[in-house]
Amino acid sequence: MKIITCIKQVPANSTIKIDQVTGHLVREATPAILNPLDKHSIELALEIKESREDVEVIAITMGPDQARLALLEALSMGADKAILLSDIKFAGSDTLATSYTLSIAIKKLMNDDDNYLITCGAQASDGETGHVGPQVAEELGIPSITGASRASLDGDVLLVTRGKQAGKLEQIKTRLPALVTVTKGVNKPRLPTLHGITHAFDEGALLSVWNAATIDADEEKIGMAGSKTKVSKMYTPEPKKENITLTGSPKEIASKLASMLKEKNYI
Amino acid sequence: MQPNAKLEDYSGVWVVVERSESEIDPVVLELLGKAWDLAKKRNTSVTAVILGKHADQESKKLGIHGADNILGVHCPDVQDYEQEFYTRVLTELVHERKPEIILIGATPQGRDYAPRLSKRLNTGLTADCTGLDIEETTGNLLQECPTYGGNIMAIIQTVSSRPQMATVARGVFKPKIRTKASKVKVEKITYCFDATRERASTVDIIEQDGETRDVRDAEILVAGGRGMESSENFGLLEELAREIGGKVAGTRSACDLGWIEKNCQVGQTGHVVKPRLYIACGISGAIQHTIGMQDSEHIIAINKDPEARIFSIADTCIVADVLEFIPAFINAIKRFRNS
Repeated sequence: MKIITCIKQVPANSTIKIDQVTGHLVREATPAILNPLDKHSIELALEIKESREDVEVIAITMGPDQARLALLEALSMGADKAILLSDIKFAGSDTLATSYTLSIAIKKLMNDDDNYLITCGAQASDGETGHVGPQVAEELGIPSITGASRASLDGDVLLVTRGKQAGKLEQIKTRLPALVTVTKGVNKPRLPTLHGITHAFDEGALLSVWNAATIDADEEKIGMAGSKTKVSKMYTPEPKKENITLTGSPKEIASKLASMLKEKNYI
Repeated sequence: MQPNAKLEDYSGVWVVVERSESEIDPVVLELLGKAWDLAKKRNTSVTAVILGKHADQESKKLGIHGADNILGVHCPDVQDYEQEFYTRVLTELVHERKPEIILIGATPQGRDYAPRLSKRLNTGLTADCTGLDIEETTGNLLQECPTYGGNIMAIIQTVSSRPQMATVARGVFKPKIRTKASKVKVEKITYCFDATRERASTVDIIEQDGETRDVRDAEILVAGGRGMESSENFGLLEELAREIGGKVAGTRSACDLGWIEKNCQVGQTGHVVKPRLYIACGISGAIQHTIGMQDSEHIIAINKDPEARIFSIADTCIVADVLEFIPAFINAIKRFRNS
């Protein structure tokens, strides 16, 4: 069977800024990393692979050429193969267009074989929508289970535990093919090994780059053309509230604060 | 959107009802209030859609909070939430009745089916909106949502398809009450759900072990974020909470790092709280967190970064190293309480 793990390269930190004149994101100088939750998704795939004989783990991402770095990280953790979906025609994709593109690449990869599991991080740290996983499943016509805090595969039955409401967990199961999205609690991702890094850098053999033509994409459904949502404006939030700032040494501030709380009857 | 339909064929605002336990989830009432505003601007009506069980006494409550119509879909085979049931029934209802806007709670349940529904309807979905309005010139829904960790706000529109779908977390909007009683139109239909596709089904619901701390009812909350640096340092917050008579809560980062239990999380994906006093310790103030606590009566923020966003919503600001400050603060409380 194949386990396909869908990953994303994201800006490394949240210091990303907006150019006040153009209103566009200033992306330069913002280093890119593998989306943190995707490490857990790769780890889940690798753990299942290690528990049985027949598993091949394939990492897949859509992005510009530099997104291959995210795939190299997946390979160095232990993924068997990687696919980079890269084409200028994919630019400007919203989650609907992204999930279409990933799904048809997965269809090509699976070639009518139904014996597969897809793992994803519950959301990416930049957009934080959590849409792409369930939408890939929808496009493929398979069940999706979101927000797993535990997941295991027994034969072709996927068993997942996830938070339902405060203080309650839900156990949910489905048969393969299926898609699961994972949260941090699901496992502890391994670090790349030296062997893994050597393996990853044999990328000529392991990493394929596919474009819109390779996956026979319908051009109406990819990139800007395939996106139903448009960002019409971006800005930096500046909520303002009248407030006071206490100053002095920690001890002095502590006294001022305690005295204020006493005055207001909090203590 | 259906291939032969036009944008102007769609009208009306829908809110999909969700229950927690047997009650209507608070987010539904909050969404109805917003839906009411939007419907007024579009000169249309609000429909609350209830799937599965339908209790008649709920109609009144939904009506008071802004629903003009109630559409109850009864299905003998489905007792509780089920992804494929929700997706399929809503798809058919949308094709048949063509609402212009659909609002869904950004709860675990909403996050589970809303993306699939938008895909099946081939229309846009915006996640975790913090503001919703109508653009006068186009009539489009303006969907405000935080992105890049809350450092940037984006306005997103679904321009070329309908319905326009948005999810909203609990606590973002305030529920409204209609003062003028109006008649709510209730329509009930029965739907036979034949599961031809492989379904994901719930096996069991487990109550989590251990003491369930409830941060929602606390009068005073001492909350810690990434700035607390470690699980051990959360002990300081426990001590402060004991001293001041409050409970301890955490940001998503703190919960994800295991410094505090997940059910003590405050924010968009946790609880929405409104205590009398909220002490934010080492919390940067990402909007995903502040959504959950900004309505607290008094907010004290302690952070060593004077530029931290939390200070823009705090009443009392303390620029200090939280790990150095809290022990001094605990001592000061002891002194003042006894003075």
